[in-house]
This record gives sequence, C-alpha cells and structure tokens, in this order.
Amino acid sequence: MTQTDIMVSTYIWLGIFFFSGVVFFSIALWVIFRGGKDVMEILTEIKDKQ
Amino acid sequence: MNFTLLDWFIVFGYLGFTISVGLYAKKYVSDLSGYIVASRRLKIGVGSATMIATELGTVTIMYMGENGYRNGFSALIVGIITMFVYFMVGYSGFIINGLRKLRVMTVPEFYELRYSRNTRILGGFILFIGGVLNMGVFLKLDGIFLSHAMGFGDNAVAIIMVLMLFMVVLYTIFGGMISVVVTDYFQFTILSISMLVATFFAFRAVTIEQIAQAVHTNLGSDGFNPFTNANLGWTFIFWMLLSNFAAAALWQPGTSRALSAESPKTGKKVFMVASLTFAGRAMIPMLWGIIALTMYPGLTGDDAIAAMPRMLGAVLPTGVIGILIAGMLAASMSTYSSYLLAWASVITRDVIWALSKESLSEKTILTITRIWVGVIGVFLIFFGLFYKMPSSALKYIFITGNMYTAGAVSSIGFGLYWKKANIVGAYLALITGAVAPLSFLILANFENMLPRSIAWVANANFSGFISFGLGALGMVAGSLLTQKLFPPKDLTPYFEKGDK
Repeated sequence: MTQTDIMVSTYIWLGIFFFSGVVFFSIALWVIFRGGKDVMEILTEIKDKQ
Repeated sequence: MNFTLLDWFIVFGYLGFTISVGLYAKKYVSDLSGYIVASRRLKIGVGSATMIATELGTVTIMYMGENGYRNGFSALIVGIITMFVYFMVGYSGFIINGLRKLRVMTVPEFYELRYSRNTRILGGFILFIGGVLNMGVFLKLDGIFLSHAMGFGDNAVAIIMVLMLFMVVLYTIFGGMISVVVTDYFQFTILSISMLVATFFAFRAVTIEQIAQAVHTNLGSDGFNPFTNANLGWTFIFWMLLSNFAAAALWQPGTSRALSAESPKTGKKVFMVASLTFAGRAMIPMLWGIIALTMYPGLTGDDAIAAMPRMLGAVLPTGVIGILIAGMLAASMSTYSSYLLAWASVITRDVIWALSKESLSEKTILTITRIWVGVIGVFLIFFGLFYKMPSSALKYIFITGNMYTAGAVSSIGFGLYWKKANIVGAYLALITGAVAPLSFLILANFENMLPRSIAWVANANFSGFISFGLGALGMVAGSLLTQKLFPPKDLTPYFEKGDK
C-alpha cells in the first residue's frame, strides 16, 4: 500500500467511526431523557397497584 | 499510576448508589413475571436503555478492543454488521414478534408450545450450557480491564473478579428484572458519559498519522481490508451475519427485552432504536484498541487483551479514570445481572420445572432461580481463573453462543413460519446445530494433532458458519422425513387474541 492509500483508508474508516459515534451518543442522550421518564412511570404504576 | 483517592471516591460513591437503587427496586417485585420480565411493563425509552446496557458490558468493550488491536480498522466491519442485522430483526419483527405475541417468558418455552415438553428441556439445557460457557470468560476479561486500567497490572485480576461477582449476585438474587431495569438506566447514563470522555482523551494521546502508520506497520493491508484479512475474511463476515441475526432474535438476555415490552410493537421499536447504537458500541472500543496498538505494538495472548485498558489507564487523567471505572463497573453489573437472571431462569423454568412431575409454586421457582444465580456465579469464578480461550475473545464469545443459536434459529424460525416443522426436526436442529461449535471448543486445543480432513473444525470462522447450515439441514430433513409419524402442532390457539 502506498502512503496515500494508507491515509485514504484511515480517513474512510475514521469517517465511518465518527458517524457511528455520533449516532451512538445522540441516541444515548435521547434514551437517557426518555428512559428517565419511563422509569418513574413504571415505579409509580407498580406503587399504585400495590 | 493515575488512580487516586478521588477516583476511589467516585467508584465507591457510584457503587453505593446503584446497589441501593437495585435493592430499593426489590420491593416492587411481587411475582415471577415481575422478577423475570419486569411484569411486561417496558416502554420504548427504558426498554432501549436496558437493552443497550445489557449488550454493552465491560466484556463487550474488552473483546471489541482486542479485535481492534489484532485486526486494526478491519475489525470495524463487525459493528456495521451488528447494526444492520439488529435493525432488520427489529424492523421485520422476525421471531421476536411471534414470541412476544405468544407471551412466553423464556425462548425455550416456545419449544413446548410448538413441539413438546422434552424439546423444551433439550433446548433449555443446550441454551443453559452454551450461555454459561459464553459467560464463563466475562469475569476474567472484566478483571483484566479493571486491574490494568486502574494501574495494578495482572496483580489484582483475581480479587477484582471475586468482588465484582459478589456485588452483582447480591442484587440480582434479591431484585430480579425490575432491579436490573431500574439500575440499567442509571448504568447506561454513566456508561455513555464515561465512553465519550474516554474517547476524547484517547484520541488526544496520538495523531491520526501515527494511528495509520501503526496499523500499516503491524498489520499491513489486513489492517484496512476486512475481506482479505487473514483472521477475518468472507467466512468470518458470513458467520457474523448469521450469528448476529440468530443472537438478535434468540439470545435470551437481549430477547427478554422484547418479551418484557408492554406490547409486541414496542418490542420491535426497542430493537430498532437499540440497533442504531450497535455500530458505535463496537467501534468505540475498537478504536481504543487501535490506539493501544499505536502505543504498545507487538503484544500477543493476554497481553494483547490487556493493551487497551492499559492504554486507557495511561492516558486518562485523575477523576476521569474514576468515572470510566465506575462506568465499566456499571456496564458489568448490568450485563452480569441480566445474564445471570437469563440463564438461571432458563435452567429453572425450562429444565427443572419442566422435568418436575409435581407442579411447583411460583415461590419455589423464584427460590430455585435465585439459588442458580449463586451457583452460576461460583462457576464463573473458577472457569474464569483456570480456562484458557482457544481463539480471540470475540470468536470464543460467538462460537459458544452458536452452540445454542445455530440450532435454535432453525427450530424456532421454522417453527413460527413453516407449518411442516415437527418435533423430530426440532430435536435434530438443536443437536446438529451444537455439534460444530462444541467440536471446535474441544478440538481447537489439539489443533496440531488433528488429521487434515477434520482440521477445519479447529477454525472458529468455519465451525461457526457451518453450524447454521447443519441446524437448518437437521430441521428440514428431520421434519420432511417424519411428517406422517409426527404430525406438526398448530400454534394458532396460543397466540394472544387478535394477534395472529
């Protein structure tokens, strides 16, 4: 592989990595907010039932 | 050593908090479905959090990191495959939708509905063995991670293993799935933050040019092209596609999230949301592994596994390392509790209860499940300390999973969607699916002594890949040859009203 091939391949893979990373952390953020609401609802529902 | 008093304070503070939450949630467990499937209350937000957290333990970080260290950028293909396959399973609802509609709590319960109680016992037993063997290396890998990241080297691995297990078994035994779900949420939060911060600091330690050169110097073109990589290649890629597909649909710890969902539709959505994170889940630790390769090239065996946590221990500043260790402990606790609960439920409900001639009360089943959580825990300590993996951690994890999933995907997939699937086909699928992975686990230790004709068995890629073909062949041939002797059962009466 030439030096250019090495750098181009590296940037392509890093591009895929950064895209996946952004998706991961964006969904993580959404899940943290939405999940917090759900946890409270579940516990309240069970408490009311008991 | 970066690990200071502040880091200890962060770790103990977090552990105290999460165990208290787990034990507090215990009072919300009033029956068996509360213990095993969280009374089927999971909504999309918390369902996704708990599924992502379950599938993201320290062990995941470790085997993905090792894969990055050994295969460079080529390793990232695993993340792409996992995301694609889980999304497709969620989108199509393949298998998970059918199981949720049938309201089963564990995957082998399906065997009893569709085939017979003995099929359930065999399926449950194979699932239990494959699952516990799969989990057998978790503690060791986690111990290596924590010990190296904290700067203790190999010295503290055993003691960390014992302490971690003790904590997890405690709150899994007393809390069950409601505890797991509630603590999963907090664990997911701290884990996400710690991964983001760790990635930032890891990238600051090296330049992109250094990474590119390290991958090229150590791995050549294998480090950039997964299709020509000697460890990976097309067989590995097809094996990963099939394995992830089967695991997405049938691996009890993950599938139980779909079975715990408030409706089949929510179960599908949980899978789709969680799947989008699976590329990042694999690629983030892989990149850490590649950065470790840049900093510590040329390591093999357990040293290669330890390279990534060693790198993190070296580059992360005080305080940040405490958050990372708390995050990783969080990840482990969530994974362990889900896995312990899954395998203990399977051996109790699908083997012991199914074998029992008298009907067992819910209380007895709950007690037996809790005892099995403890028994599996003790096994994990000894197995982790003394067993030596015959291949990379990633391949070991997948091949042990295949012992069950290779046969199960045929017996359950065909069972749900093919009217001719019968009991003989199911037995054959379960047995033939387990043969190649089991042979690999035994024969890989004697690779040099094997005659050339069966040497392929010692190749994890090939053994794993072929196990799915054998499972499908067993199901189709067994069913078609015995249609008259063993007529297939109809599932229609078991579906929830209006669902079929």
